[in-house]
Amino acid sequence: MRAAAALLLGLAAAPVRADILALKDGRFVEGVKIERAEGGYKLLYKNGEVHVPDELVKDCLIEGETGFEPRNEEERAKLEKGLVPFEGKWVTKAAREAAVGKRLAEKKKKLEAAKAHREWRNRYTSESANFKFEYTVDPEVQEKLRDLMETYLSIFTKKWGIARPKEKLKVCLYHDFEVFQQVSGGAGSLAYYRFVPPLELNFFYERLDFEFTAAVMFHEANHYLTHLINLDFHYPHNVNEAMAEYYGASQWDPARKEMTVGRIQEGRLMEVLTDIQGGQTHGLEDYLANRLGYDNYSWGWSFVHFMMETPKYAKRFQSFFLALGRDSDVKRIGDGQGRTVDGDEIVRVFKKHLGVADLGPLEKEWHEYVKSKLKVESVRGYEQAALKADQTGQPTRARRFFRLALEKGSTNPMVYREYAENLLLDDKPAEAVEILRKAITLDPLSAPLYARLGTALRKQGKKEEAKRMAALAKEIDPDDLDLLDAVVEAVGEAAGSKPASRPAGSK
Amino acid sequence: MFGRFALALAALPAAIPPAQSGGLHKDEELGFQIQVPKDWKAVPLAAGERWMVAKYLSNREYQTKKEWGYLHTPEMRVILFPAEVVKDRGPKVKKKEDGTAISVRFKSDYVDYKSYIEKNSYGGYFFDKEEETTVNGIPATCYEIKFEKLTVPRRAVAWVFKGEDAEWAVHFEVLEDWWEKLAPEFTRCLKSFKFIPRKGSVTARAGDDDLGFDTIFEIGKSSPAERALKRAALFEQAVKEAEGRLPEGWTKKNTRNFHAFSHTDDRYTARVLEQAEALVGWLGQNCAWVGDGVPGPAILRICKDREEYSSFQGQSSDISFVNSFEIATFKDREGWGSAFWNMNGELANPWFADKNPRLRWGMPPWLNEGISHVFSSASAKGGKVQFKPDEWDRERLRDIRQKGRLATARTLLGADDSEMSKVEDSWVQCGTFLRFLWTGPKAAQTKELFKKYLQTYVAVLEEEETAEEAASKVKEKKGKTEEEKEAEEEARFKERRQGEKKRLEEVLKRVFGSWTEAEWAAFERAYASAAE
Repeated sequence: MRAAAALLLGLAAAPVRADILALKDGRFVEGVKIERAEGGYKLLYKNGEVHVPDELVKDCLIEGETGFEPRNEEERAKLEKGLVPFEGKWVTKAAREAAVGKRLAEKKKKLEAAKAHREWRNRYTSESANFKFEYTVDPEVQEKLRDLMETYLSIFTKKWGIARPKEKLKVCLYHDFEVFQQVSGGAGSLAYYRFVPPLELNFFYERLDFEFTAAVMFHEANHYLTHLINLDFHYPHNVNEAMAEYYGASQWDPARKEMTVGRIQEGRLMEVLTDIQGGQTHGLEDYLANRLGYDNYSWGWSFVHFMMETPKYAKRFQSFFLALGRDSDVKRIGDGQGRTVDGDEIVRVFKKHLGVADLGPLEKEWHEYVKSKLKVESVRGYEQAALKADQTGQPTRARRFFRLALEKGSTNPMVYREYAENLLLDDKPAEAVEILRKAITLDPLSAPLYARLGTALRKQGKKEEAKRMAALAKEIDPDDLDLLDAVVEAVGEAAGSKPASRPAGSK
Repeated sequence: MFGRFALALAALPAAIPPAQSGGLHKDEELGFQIQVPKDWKAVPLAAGERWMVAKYLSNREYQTKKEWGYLHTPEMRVILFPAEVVKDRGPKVKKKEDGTAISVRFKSDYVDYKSYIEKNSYGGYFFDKEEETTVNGIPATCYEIKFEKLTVPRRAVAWVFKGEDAEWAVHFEVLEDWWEKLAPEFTRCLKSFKFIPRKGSVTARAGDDDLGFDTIFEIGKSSPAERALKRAALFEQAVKEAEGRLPEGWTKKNTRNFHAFSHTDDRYTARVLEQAEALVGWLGQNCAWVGDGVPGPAILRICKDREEYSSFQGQSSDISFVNSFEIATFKDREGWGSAFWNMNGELANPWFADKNPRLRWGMPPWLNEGISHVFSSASAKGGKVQFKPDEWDRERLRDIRQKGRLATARTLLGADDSEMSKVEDSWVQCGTFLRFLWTGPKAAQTKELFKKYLQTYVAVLEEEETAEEAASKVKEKKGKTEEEKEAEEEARFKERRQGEKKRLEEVLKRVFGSWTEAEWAAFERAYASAAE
């Protein structure tokens, strides 16, 4: 996906006016004629109409809109006298056009300003009690995350006995993943906390999944919060990432003003269960000695979850974690930019605080915990299970979990798309078409969904409709089509065409 | 993996202007000229470079004004985006003549300056300015780019000039601390951009053809002789391109296995070539049996210093060794030895890839790391190669032994990627073990151990491939239930996950199956002693 900005450029038949649709997810649609429709808006592309429901729309500017159709004799009589309704009164057409024109001009200015803020050089800035924000998302989105972060800091510092920071942390929030990668330099990551001065947190807003955005924020902000334990100390990767993942699954209930921690990180759980399914497990000493690398996110998370959610261990584990950063008897080493601890010392301190000499029994207990206590039960869990099964070449298993996810009420269009892909590979184009049409109602302006729908229709033999969908996808957002979409379309067309040249010897 | 290598080499233009130093850069082939800052030197372009048409490096390094004093050499790049090439973004799909298969060739996705910078810069950046202007009657977009996050702060200015059939982006980059001082000179140069009568074609380099890079690594579909011929054709073209783009002051020298382009003195050039030939010669004498492929020559680029080397390495991201056959190094003026580390490490990989691609891309973890380590620190004198640990290796080994973390030979031989990641300083340990196998004391049983191990490993790889091919031809039984399908998929998944481990265990069984524990113990003692 190459959409570097949240601008969608429709390639409709020459638009005669500059209608703009601003979506709640931060995108803008321009270059296509827009009409009001029941329950939303109709976008009139050259290759088809797209219905966008009101609940997805933040604002809409339809230039030259009169907005008045008389519904009865009385209204028709008024119209004949040259009067039209405007804000509860009957006024002349000219007066209405002037007022509407002014409103439209203001709205256009507002929308243009909102679009301009998508460029990092025009970013918004604001401050809260403990953070300084720089962002390209809409202010409403930033406010939601701001409130979440302030609450998180308050709860975490209280629970862990950490002093409030003296300086505000800079937080950079980007309106999509591509812009995050480009501006933050965080290629290969979803977010990061810069732990050397100037301290900074960078993450992006995933328009399709606010819960995911919040989870990433909880994770990265956790690095900052644990850094506050000792600003001269850098927690080693194993405990640092595992603790961040543990808090990554937090949830805040604004109505009850309660934060729930210790929820299951279904994605990580699926990684662990997939490893076990594939015959691989990790030992406790290897984890504590910081030898697991990437698996600190999954296996490490499962261990921290085991520790923090098991009452007999929770306090002692918390004490161990704090001791690494604070206690004078912990041997720390330089890491080039501060101090940290090496694997052997982590193991020693852990054994001391947990009161164990032999890690064997605890390791057994942990593995048993993973197998028996951590379950995939939520919508998100089934979604993650399906995606993981697909990634590991188990499409039948994936289909089972996709079905469960949809039955449980999944509304993630990306999951629908992957499910449709799976069905196509299983030679079930009719089912794939049904799934993709449902996905389009959830995300009506996703070019990849139309591209996939085109593929599914082609497999059903509906070539004309398939071509139209592929063309519509390109109209909606050619930059949002990834390489796979282009290959699938190109291969599909080639498969239906004659070979480039005749075999030698043939006439 | 090979999808990326399916980018075709461009056809050569009729002639390419020699790159110049400072003053005026005039390119009659492409039809443009521009002033270059005084005393800046032209940097050669890699043979596979399809987008950059000129590159210059400042004659001096600048240091940041912060405490940590990062060094950077300002540079200038001219990048060309022919309209005909960039408009056709998608993959190129062709049906094979017999209609049995469809081939897909991927194209680079640069369509304009912004998409190019996205893939060819480092650090977080954003466009601080974006303005339209006209320069000498040519419409242009002026960009200022700030590199701020996760990098040393830098600033770039790029003006993109719009011609009738292409866009030319001229990009200058410098440390942020020195921007105010150097920006006026950059602007002066940018304002000098002009089109001149054109003799050649803007699509010459970026065009597409069917030389088929991906097929030089296919096994079974063509014979070693056929692959060698194809490689030779591609190499010849790469050499012509590299020669055509050679700036002033560079010399050429050919040896048995290398076409060297050097920007340093003859004595150092000779030393580099001696080392390179000795290492490749050693491989030929001691590892010829690893496969039936024919190792081909490589281009060896010897830069005058580290700055030039770093700048040369900054080619467009869509090229690789496979496209350009180039290995680069530089004259090491700092005495750290890193010039040879890099070059040595790069010599072995293509040799193994030519000789036996199946082995190269499927090497056991201990050997992959071991070759990288041992070759990096190798040296040659009078044509004789020495594989000796350096002082850093010795220090690391002391530390590992003190902690009791020296892995046994059996552990290293049997470790898959996941297990190898848990071995402390695995790069050093694998290198030490490989060095022991190559140069250590030889009991009768272990004299030919390396050869026996590797031949067995290759045999097991071939058996696996044959089995996979046979399995893929077995017709899928119809009427299976979903549960049956799921169980089969799970079994295959487990097999794949454990595949590398099983292969290593099989090789261990075949090579060491007859060994007694006493023989193992003796072997481990010999290795541990060599590691001291």
